[in-house]
Amino acid sequence: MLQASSTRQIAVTVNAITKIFGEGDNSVVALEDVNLEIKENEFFTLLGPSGCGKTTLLRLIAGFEHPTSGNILLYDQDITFLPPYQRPVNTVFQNYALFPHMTVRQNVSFGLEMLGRAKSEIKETVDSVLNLVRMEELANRRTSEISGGQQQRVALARALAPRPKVLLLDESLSALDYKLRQDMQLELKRLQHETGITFIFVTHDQEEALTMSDRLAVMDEGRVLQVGGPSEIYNYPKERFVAEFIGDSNFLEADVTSVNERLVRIQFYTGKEFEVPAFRDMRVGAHVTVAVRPEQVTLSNSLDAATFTGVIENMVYLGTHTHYIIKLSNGSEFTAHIQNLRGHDRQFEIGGAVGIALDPATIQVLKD
Amino acid sequence: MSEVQVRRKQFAVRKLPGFQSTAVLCFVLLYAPIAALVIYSFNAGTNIALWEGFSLKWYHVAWQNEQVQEVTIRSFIIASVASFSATLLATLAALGTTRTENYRGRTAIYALINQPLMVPEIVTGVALLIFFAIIKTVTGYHGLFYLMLAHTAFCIPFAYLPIRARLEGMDISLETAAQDLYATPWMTFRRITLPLLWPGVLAGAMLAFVISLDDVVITELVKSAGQDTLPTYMLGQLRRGVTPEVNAISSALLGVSILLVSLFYILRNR
Repeated sequence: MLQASSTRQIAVTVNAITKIFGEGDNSVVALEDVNLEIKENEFFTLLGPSGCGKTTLLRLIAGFEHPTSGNILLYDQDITFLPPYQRPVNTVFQNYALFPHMTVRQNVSFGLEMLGRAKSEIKETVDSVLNLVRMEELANRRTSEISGGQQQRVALARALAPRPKVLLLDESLSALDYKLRQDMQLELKRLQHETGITFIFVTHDQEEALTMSDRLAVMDEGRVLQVGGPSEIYNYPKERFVAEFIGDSNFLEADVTSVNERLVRIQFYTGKEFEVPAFRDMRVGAHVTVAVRPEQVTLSNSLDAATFTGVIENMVYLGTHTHYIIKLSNGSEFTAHIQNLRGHDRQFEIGGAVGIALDPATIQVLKD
Repeated sequence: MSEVQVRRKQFAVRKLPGFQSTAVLCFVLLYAPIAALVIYSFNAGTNIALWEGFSLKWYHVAWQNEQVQEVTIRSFIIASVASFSATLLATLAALGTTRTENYRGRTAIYALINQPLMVPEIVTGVALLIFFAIIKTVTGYHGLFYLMLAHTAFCIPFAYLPIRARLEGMDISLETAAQDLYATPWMTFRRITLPLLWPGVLAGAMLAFVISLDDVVITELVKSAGQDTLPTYMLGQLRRGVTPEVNAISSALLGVSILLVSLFYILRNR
């Protein structure tokens, strides 16, 4: 699966895209020099907080906006300035935007009708798409007569019916309640698998992004910070923002004490040293920030061997895990998520001293 | 207990002393004259203030009156042409003021479109009288076209308001979605915007029709000889003396207006 993905064709190329809204003093930079390559049949997610430019990027790919500079390729065709109705790209809108004066079937047929397909072909395609989203029984209902989850599925069917080369989904699940959302997440993965269409999904929900994506791009303030698979992004965040936005992280200061070809040796304030891979130029004496995931540390009562020592300030029992808030000896706060094992509970107490041990493999050095 | 306290805090205009009687008085003042007019249109006698029994006589007289027939037909022709063209223009104006990127002077254009609602009708009437007099002298044409033009002009804001309201209430992402689904701008308008706008267009047309049908001031000033509409004809008749025939015509006109205005509200809320 992974090998196949590396040989896949590039479906969408976003090339040095900058988008500025407004002019002069009122101008806002929505996107700044964004470069992306989205592969064929990939479930690609644009993840970021609201206002990071992810929806603007989606609208540029759909053709609702045009970039200030840069270009967008769909396979080998430059589509930067093509109007939306000439792009083989369809969108599932955040509010669904179903046509209220049409039935479910008429909504789903619309795109094919506009493409001038034959009546028999339209009926056949619409039937199969409605079947795909399990809406065939409600085909003749008005869109106002169906529930939110059903509307979501109709919006999906409507966008899939013309068999676009790329399907864009704009925060499409955020209006649904928790249970429905989880069902739709699975449904989307299934649809993507069955149709073989490239999906570009926009969300601010990191959990959703991790579960659904083949690859994702983390965005902030109009820039793409990191692109990679879910585990790559989670385990190897390059920047503090990425480590903070996706999952929980502890941030620790360290000094570089020696530099090898591939490895650097870093030292924490406790004097403990670790060898970690060097991914950029680092000098001896430089100051770095590292990220450590709370679930990737071990706590023990033996303080001498520990990387850090501290006092447990608070602990929250959550069934599978217990969360510990620990005040380190230098005054900063450290969070540890420790898996609960039967027979090993009540090992630590609030106010008790505790040692935190790090594994060198779990230390991620961040860009400044 | 708490519910009572919450209620007490609210300002309830209906609870004010004398509210009900004031409201009833207002409605009586509004509708009593009209009720009297309608009732006396069924009077059998010739006296307008003396009830002599129920009869449809005056409706029959009005129906048979060739002059009434003539002016009624003229009124309907003018109202039809004026409401049609005013609605068409108002629709374009509404699209131009809501479906474009904001441009300089858009608010000014909005104000200009609605200005006829604020300008006293007599001013518009006098202006048109003078303006058309010049054209009439130059061209020698004295037909109904002037009235149609004048009615179209003052009907535009009435047609514009419901259409604009409808457009503003319409989700713009529907049009974006249509374009995304391969609809050209023209197809988007035909298949999405227009069908959704249609109740607003009909409502605007009906309002314009009623406004045109009822107009006296501008019509009186603009019309050439022999171009009386129903309201100006009635005004002329009243100068000569009041018969229940005028009551009957008024009642019929009222009926048409109520019908159209009711349709307007039904369409507006659809």
